[in-house]
Amino acid sequence: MVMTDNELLEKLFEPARQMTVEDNGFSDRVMERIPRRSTRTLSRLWTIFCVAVAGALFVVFDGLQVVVRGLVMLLKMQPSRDSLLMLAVSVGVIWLLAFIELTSRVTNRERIRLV
Amino acid sequence: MGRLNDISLATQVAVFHNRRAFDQLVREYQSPVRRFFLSQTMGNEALSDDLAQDTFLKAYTHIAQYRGTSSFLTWLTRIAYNVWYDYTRKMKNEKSEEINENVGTTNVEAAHSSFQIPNSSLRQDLYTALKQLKDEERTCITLQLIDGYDIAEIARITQMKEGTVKSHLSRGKEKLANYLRQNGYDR
Repeated sequence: MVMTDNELLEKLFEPARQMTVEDNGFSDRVMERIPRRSTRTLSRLWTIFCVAVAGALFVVFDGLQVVVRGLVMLLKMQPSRDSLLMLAVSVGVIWLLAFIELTSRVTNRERIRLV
Repeated sequence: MGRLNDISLATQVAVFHNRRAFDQLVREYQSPVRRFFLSQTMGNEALSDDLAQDTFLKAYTHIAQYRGTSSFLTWLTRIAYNVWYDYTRKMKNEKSEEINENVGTTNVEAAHSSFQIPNSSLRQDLYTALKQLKDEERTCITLQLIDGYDIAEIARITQMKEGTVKSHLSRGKEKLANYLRQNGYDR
């Protein structure tokens, strides 16, 4: 009897469908490579510490007063063409860096292709 | 493992970095992920395990992106496909043709300590037959005939259009059937 294409493929693939791969320590090897949480915790603690120190310094040295005084001075003075150019360059660089960071994050996210 | 349980475990990993929850997911899904790579590498167990490890590491670091709209296994398979795609592209760039020879011939017989497939000669026949196919055809064929995905799911996993998947499947099946007939499997 001549077998159809589907019967032939069924004969070939049926055993593979039933196939299971034994763990044999694979899961343990994966878990060994998983990044430890302690590093994240340490990094978070460091961030919290830095923010706390910055906040304390801001209060101790009356940071709000300094910021307000600076803004008032900036608004009162007549900006020159050079200072405007410097401002534009600084803002441009910051936007460029933000754009690069954003596109790299989007690309990275795209590579994982959400389901 | 049910979809809800998977979502619960994935949430525990994403929010609390619960390693035990991720360990459960790895143990549950290591077999289908490694089987996927064994099909793509045509039996190279060492390479399959390396790629499967990379897949789980990526899954761990991006687990917050799993939304539960598909099964966790489909999501993992999609990552696995991307890992395989990146690997083949990298290898093609490095040594243009070598991959097909290395991947296919080295370990069909050598490395199968973890394998639980009923008939070893059929396993060998399967990998020899899969060598007749192009990468994309092999991926589509194995996703359908071994892993049981339908055309829409294969399209989602591989990011191909459904029409493209259909034509890969049709061409691949034709090549396989011809190969099997030429080698007397139809008797």
